[in-house]
Amino acid sequence: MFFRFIIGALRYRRQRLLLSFFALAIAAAMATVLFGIYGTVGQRMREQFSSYGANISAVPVTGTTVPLEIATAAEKLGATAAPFLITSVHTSAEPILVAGFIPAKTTAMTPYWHMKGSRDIGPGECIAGETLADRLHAAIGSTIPLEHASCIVKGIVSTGGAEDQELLLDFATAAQLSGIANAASLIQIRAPGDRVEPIRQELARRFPSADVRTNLAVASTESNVILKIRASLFLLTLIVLVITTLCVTSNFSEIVLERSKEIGILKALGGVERRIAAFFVSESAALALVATIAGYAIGNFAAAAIGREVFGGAMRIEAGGLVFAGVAGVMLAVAAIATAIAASRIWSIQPAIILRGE
Amino acid sequence: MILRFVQESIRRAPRRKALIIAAIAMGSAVATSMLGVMLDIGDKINAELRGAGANIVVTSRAASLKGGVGSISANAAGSSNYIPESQVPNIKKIFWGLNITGFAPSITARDGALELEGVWFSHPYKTPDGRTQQTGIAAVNPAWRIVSGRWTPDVLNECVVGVNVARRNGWKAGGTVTILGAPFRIAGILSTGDEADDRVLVPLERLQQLTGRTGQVDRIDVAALTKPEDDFARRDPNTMTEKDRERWNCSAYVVAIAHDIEQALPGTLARPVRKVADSEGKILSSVGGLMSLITLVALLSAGLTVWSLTATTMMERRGEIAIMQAIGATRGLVALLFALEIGLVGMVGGLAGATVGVALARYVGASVFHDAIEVSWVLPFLIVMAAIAIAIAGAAQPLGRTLRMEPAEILREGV
Repeated sequence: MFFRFIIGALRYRRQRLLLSFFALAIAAAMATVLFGIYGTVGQRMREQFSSYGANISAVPVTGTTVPLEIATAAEKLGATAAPFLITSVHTSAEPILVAGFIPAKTTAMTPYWHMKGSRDIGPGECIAGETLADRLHAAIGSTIPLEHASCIVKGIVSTGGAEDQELLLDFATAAQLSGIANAASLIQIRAPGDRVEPIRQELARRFPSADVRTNLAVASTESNVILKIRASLFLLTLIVLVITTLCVTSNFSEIVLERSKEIGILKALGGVERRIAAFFVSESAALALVATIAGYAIGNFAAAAIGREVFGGAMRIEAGGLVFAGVAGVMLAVAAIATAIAASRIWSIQPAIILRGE
Repeated sequence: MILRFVQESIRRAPRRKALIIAAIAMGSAVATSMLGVMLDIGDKINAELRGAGANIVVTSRAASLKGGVGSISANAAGSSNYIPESQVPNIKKIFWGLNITGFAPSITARDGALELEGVWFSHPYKTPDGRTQQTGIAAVNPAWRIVSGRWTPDVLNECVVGVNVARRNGWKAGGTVTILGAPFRIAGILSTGDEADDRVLVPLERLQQLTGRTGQVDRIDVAALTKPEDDFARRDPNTMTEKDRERWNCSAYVVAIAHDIEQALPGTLARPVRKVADSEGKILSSVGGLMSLITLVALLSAGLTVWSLTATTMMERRGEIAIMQAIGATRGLVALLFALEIGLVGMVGGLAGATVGVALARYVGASVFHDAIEVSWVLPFLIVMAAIAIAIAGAAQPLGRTLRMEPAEILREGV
């Protein structure tokens, strides 16, 4: 009897319920999209910020070098590290700045290098900074004579920074040229955005001979911008959620209020108020649950599509089980409370008056 | 008569009308606040990203032809290897002058092992429209922190010492040091996490005097608000058609601004700092893309909700339509009456929603960015228009169907 009522209600008022379902599913989808995006936006924005490169650097306090172990230690702590060895070398015409680097470790940290040619170099090969190349009239494929050796230019780099004036060699060659072993002039470290300070402190504690410092321009801009993006999304999510909840509430009250006649008949036939109220609440709950599932599926797809469109990479689930539980919880609670409040009218409905058509 | 119809309709079912108006208002509020925040967040984030420092560096063209380390100068004929300080404020005179949020000229020198940099700390200059503004190294690098003491307001015998130099020499804020034979009071200790930690910053004018380079600067760091680079921005302006070139110049791409600066300061080379410029481009486009897609989803949902709601209401009022037709109203008149009523409902709801939405957008701006979000009056206007249009569009289909049906059929159903 209980289920017959609900199934009957679904069949008889198909169009009206379809519209309610539609409105509720939209609300659930909207909430899923916003929660899903809000939950993952911090991490994904951090990935975008990695293009600023290193956020920690280790430089000598006194002397000219820092131990290479800093790089290994940083990597063990979950950061990426790229050592640079900077020295000056006499060419036939003039002294030039030479920077030794490890291509494999540097690539991820310097996505902003605008390269012509290749950035993967081995012994005997080099990359010339743009202004240096202009000055030496060097092009890709030409040979630059160094003190005791020479190198073939494999690429030209343009960054608008110090690299433009430098000749970039592989680390081992630069170490040979400068006579420095097991040390670097500078170690650039990229720590995960939320662990910059602990990693810096740990490195500073273990290597007192180096000044391990946080690049404020990069690190504070990152935390600042991410904080603000998350805060705006949070507020917008909250606004949309509150407004949607209000809309949904009125939708559920409608379901009861517009059926006074039906209630009158049920009461006239001897229906107990509690039982009638239970019918309505379960009808609303069933509707809310189905709408949430549909809305969650649509919303999740939309969120994944947005994530993919904006941040690239593969489609990945943005809204997990927690979001579903949250959305379903809110929807069911709103359904139950709104319907129950509206259903309190059931007690005051006089079947005779309602059925007479007043 | 039309007025009476609407009046009666509202009087008879005030609760129902209030519900529809409320729902339309809520949809409009979501749309307005989302759009308001979306349209402005790019500029706000752009301003925040200026924390990463200068995104354009200007040097003299001749100096860039010189080597990095004590090299033989290879000056191009007739050009000097410095920028005249008097030219520096011309940066603000370029087409994109308003996008330049700060600029800081500097020269470098050495005193033994000490690296010195002469800078504007907070220096007044005349803007093209004749007002006086301040700019300098603190404006270009808002992330830099003074760990003890204070910035100096360009007092000639004060300096700011990088935290590394201070530690190495045991200097404290408030102490006095001798640089290039002249006494300086240490105003503050600066922590930046980059090369500036290893330098002593002194007022530009003083370093020019001490090194005999009056009126000269080596480099200008420029912070500009830019538009994210796309494929079009990366094309070479010299190979463009006249029309493309104009479009290129009229977009605030970092390369276009750098190009403008080179025109305004002859003999200079303005280069984007790729690390800053590329990264902020990437971040701005992802924030912009994210916000516009979320807004699109919100607009779609708000629109669909309002649509389905007015459709439901129309369906419920089939009886009313049938009675009007039965007593002789033409289809056109009934359609007009309902369109007017729903249009009115849409307008009231839209107006209320747009007002609330603007307030909400402002609130988000004030609480997140501590700076009100600018919402142009066009936005609420468009939202109200859209609310009316969507409400009428939602009602149109069920209304049309009812009008085509025989009134008798509907009335017999007793709906």
